[in-house]
Amino acid sequence: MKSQPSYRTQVVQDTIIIEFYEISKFLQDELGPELDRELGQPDLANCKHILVDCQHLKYANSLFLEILLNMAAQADQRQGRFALCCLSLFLSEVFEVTRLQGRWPTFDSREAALREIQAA
Amino acid sequence: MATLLVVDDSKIDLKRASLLLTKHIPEAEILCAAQGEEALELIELHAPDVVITDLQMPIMNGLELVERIRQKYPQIPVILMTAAGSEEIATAALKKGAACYVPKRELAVDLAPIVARLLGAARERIHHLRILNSISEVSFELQNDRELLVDFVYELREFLQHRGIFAEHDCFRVAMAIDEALANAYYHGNLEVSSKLREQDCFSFERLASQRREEQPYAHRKIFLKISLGEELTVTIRDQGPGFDLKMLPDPFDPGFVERPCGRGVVLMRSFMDSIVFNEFGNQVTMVKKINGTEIVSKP
Repeated sequence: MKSQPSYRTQVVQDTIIIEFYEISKFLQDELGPELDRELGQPDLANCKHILVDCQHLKYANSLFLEILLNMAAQADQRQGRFALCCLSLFLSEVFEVTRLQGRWPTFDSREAALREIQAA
Repeated sequence: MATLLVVDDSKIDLKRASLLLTKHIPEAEILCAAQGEEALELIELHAPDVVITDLQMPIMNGLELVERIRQKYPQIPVILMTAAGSEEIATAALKKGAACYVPKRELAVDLAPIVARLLGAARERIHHLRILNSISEVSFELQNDRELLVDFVYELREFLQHRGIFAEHDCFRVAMAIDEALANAYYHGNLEVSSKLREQDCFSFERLASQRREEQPYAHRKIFLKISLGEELTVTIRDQGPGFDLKMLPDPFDPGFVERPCGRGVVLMRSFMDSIVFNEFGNQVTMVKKINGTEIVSKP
């Protein structure tokens, strides 16, 4: 089963921005391995930081949280920072319930997140 | 009786479109507005079935009107009337959610059939919703197919939102609890793939799940789901796996829980539903959510 295209990556200086689309049907069982492979591609492998932009993400589930934990581990391995931006109210609640709130820095906008990450 | 709203700042074009609709759809009531704000007021008052609007208008153009209607009245389809040379902005309006556009030079031929088609679709949607709203108890026998399950959760969330028994935020919560329970039934129940594999790497888990989808006895197992809607929403999900020991569920208050790559599904289910009860084998879960603050009766 192939997951729907549900994200796009972009590089700004040494930060990989992963922007998830609206995923009302969160069919992302293969998304973890797919992202893992993509982050290892030559154009992304040398970036230190990872920023996940959730602006268009209304719904997610525990598999999505696992993906975030994997990506955060990747940022650690690169000695970089991992951050999130533009979380919806529902996603914030999911983080709170699973005690992941405060685990990573979160920002209201992508610009604010990039400023903070790249200043560090 | 169907209600149509025509919006155009040109009195001549407004009259022309209205007359065309009156002639071809005589059973419809036609409302007219000369600009966007007036159109929004009429929508609020009359809830028309279809809005037909000019694209280029002063103060609020058709593009902005489409956006405002999509935000507040997503069920009302909007047809754009476009003058020559405005195809680019019409494409932008389609992206914003307009149903379609009709060039003004083609109005006489195309407008009425398009409106009639949209009215037909709206009627079907209303009938469909009336049937869905009559459901008090329904059972499903689902193939162990992840795509089917994901589609099911999406449709169920839409149904709950249409039915209006929960606020939108609660529809998301209920959908997530069911999503997590179905994922458990699919992976851990029917395919018997352990979460421990996720702790090794993200590939091993999916690899084994993928392999077992083709193997017996896993391949033909099903998931049984029953929904009851009364004073509370009750969802029972049962898989055909051997079950699991409830004592093996991770403790969310364990200091190591936050760093674990898995084990959050049941925590989310417990948080977003008012009660969840597993059967003695661990292959069936019953989840209850109160509707409109009704008191919950504890179940064994």
